Amino acid sequence: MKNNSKITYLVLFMVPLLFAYILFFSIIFFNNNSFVEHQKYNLIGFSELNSKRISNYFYDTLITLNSLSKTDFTRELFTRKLEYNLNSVHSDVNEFSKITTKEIQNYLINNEKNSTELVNNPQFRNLALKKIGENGYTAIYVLETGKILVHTNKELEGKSLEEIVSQEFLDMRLDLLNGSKSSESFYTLNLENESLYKFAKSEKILTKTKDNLTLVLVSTALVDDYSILSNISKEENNFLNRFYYYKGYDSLLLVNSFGKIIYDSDTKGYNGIYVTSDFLGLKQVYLESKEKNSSSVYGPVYYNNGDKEILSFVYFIPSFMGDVFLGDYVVIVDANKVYNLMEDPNFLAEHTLSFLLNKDGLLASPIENSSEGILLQQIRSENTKHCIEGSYEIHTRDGSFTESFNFYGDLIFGTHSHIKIPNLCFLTEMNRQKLIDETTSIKKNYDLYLLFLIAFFIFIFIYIVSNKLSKKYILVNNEELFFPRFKKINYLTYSFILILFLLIYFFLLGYFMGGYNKSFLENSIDLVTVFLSGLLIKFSLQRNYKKHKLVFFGAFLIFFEKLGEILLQQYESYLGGIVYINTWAGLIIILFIGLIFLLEGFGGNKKWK
Amino acid sequence: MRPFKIFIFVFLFILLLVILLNIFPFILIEKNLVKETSYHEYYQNSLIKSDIVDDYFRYALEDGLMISNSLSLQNYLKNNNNKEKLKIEDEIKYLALSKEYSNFFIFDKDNFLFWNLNNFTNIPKQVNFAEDSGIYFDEENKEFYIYSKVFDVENNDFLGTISIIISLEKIESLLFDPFFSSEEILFFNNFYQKNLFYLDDYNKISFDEDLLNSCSKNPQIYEDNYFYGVFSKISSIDACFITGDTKKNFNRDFYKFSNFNQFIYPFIAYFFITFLLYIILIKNKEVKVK
Repeated sequence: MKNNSKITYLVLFMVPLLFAYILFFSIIFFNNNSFVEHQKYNLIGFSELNSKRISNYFYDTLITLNSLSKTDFTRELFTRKLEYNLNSVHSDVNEFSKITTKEIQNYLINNEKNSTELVNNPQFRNLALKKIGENGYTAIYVLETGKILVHTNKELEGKSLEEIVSQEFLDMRLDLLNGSKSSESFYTLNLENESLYKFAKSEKILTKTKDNLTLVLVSTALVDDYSILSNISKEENNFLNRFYYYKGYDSLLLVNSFGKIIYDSDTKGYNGIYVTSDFLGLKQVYLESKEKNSSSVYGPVYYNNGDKEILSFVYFIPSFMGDVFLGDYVVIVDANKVYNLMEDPNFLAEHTLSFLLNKDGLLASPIENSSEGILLQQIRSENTKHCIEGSYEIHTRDGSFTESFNFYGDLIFGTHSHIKIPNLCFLTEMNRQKLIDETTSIKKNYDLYLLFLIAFFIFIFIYIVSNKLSKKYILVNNEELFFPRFKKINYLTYSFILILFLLIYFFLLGYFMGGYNKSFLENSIDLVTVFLSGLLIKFSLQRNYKKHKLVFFGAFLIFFEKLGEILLQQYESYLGGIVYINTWAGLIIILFIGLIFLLEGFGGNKKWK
Repeated sequence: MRPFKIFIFVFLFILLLVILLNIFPFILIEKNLVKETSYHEYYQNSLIKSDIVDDYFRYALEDGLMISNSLSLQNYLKNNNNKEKLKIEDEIKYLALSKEYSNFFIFDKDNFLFWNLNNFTNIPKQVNFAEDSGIYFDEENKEFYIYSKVFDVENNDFLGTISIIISLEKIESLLFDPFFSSEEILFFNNFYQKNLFYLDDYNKISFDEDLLNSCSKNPQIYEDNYFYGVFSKISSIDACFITGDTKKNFNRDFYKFSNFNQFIYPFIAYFFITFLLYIILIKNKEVKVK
């Protein structure tokens, strides 16, 4: 009897623990690890290689441009005398006039105001008064009265046109009074010491003020401001043109030290215009390049190439003669040339995503072939945070790897590489769950082997335990049993039911393996267990026999273990490998202790009576 | 049987089971996985690295075309005066140096050397060019030559040839990658059986011609008794780029990712718990009986 009880204890504690261990190991290999680890490693490699390829592109262009700026031949272009260009002044003033009229019109639609109220309205003044080129500006007068409403020189406001302007302006007003929408003219302004050749455009604002007056926007510019390189030799033209032709750049601009475009390879009419002009889209990057004052590339930015806005990268290469700054070579490259270099990681391509972010955390490349949100959508996740904050760090294999949530809220394996020029982050993210599912499908054949072994040993275990216990102990009275009706069902029957259940479970698990439903299946079993143990707790509290207490403790432990397991799965990514494994081991031990309590509670062991 | 003996017996039995249940499938599973995962690694390496080399040659080819279309160069080849020489030197020198080209040659229309960037001793005085502009490999000096013919823009007369020289080391540096242990082999179709990058003892292996003919932009698996890898084509230099590893090194990779702690820690925990239970439940009871 003494030996029997020792064997019983061994069977009760050591064998379950053995199975806990085996199951626990199987779990590790089911979910693991090696494949996932290797794919993480591949992901980093992909990110590094692909960003290297993109960097190579920027670097090659930068070197080529630098070599251009170093030639005496092109340096001389910056020092050459400029000649004015009537086309440029005409197109620049027209562009300014078109944009400003539209802005004022929209303002008047949304703010019904009398003309007198507009004079001192800062918002209106801000819209109406703009600088054109170096010496040009805009002003507004009232068509009906001919009086100036707002002007950069405040003293002139309220004065009549006849008092201060030349005949050309009066003729233009007459045109407008006769029904024209706009009128323009080149004219000479004679001052005391010099004569200035200017261009002016008057354009009607179609929305009237509250006091029913028509406003006219006058935009004027000095033609001399639009002077460009005009005497370029055939050889020089060949040099500059083939340079952008063979390298496939979209535009090559020479910008002098005052910020004026003195040469435009694209002949889009930007010659003589200031590079800071709003409609070009280069203002911000130009100012950034002035701060840096060394060769670099910026972007992506939307550049207006005359027909439409194209997403571009912009190179600024300053040219110096000794220490004297001469000007910049500005090269504009269509951003698609860079996006074409971004490959999809071919391993598990459907589960991964690659994209670029700029230094402000804004999306800088299409995601899944969609250009929506570029330079508008801010992407914030742990992975992007690491990349933007740690821009200049040198990555180790583990250092650039993150396991976190992406901006959709999915758990991902993410990695990032920094493209130093033009300060972009290259991010690659892989859906974690899908990768694990993929691993499972690769292991499918071996799992069956493992499942068979586990099922076989579980059968042996249950058979031995039930045999031992049923022979050894006599069943107690009907009323003391937890479920009185089951008293005639012996342990062997229980164990067969259990095996059947396990086989169905493993069969289903095997069937769904690798599919998206697998996690649902696993979760649903956990939830059913939680529900059943909850029911058992409820029933066990109805009577106060010791057997019911055993069932209560058993059910409570299982309930606790399952909840713990669900929590563990949720926070798996935050726990280190060893902490995670040992927590799981602890939970499995709790589960088995709970099962032993249940077994004792359901069985008819008289010593618990 | 004494309880301690039972314990030892059970413990050994469990150990055997653990080995049976874990180690054996572990080996089967992991071996398969290493191959599977290495394939992904080689695939991506092959694809992107061949693109990186391809890009480099494409950029160099563009440089060649750009310079050969220079009016200054054409004038220099036509007139050969010092002023033109300075101009073309000015144009080429910085570009060639900053792009780490090993040398830059200009040959006249009779294929005699006209000008060169670096004064190397082995400068060819006269060379026989292939018919067309393009990229060629000099087997003797292990260098790439990018030829671009220069024609007069006005009357289309042949004026000479320029040549950008790229060393093999430069290509090697493009392929250098601290993240991957796999070895690279750059292999040429037109120089069959002349490997450019060798694995330690790989020079005794030769790829068969069929494999090289089937080399395409799409990476494909290459496997023989000795080697496992992936190959793809570098179109610009008509080369087949093979990346992979010897099967001997596979075994090294096999252990690289298997975390032995995952095996040993639970085992120690298991041993500890069973021993504790043995002391508490069995030893204690024996004492009480006595």
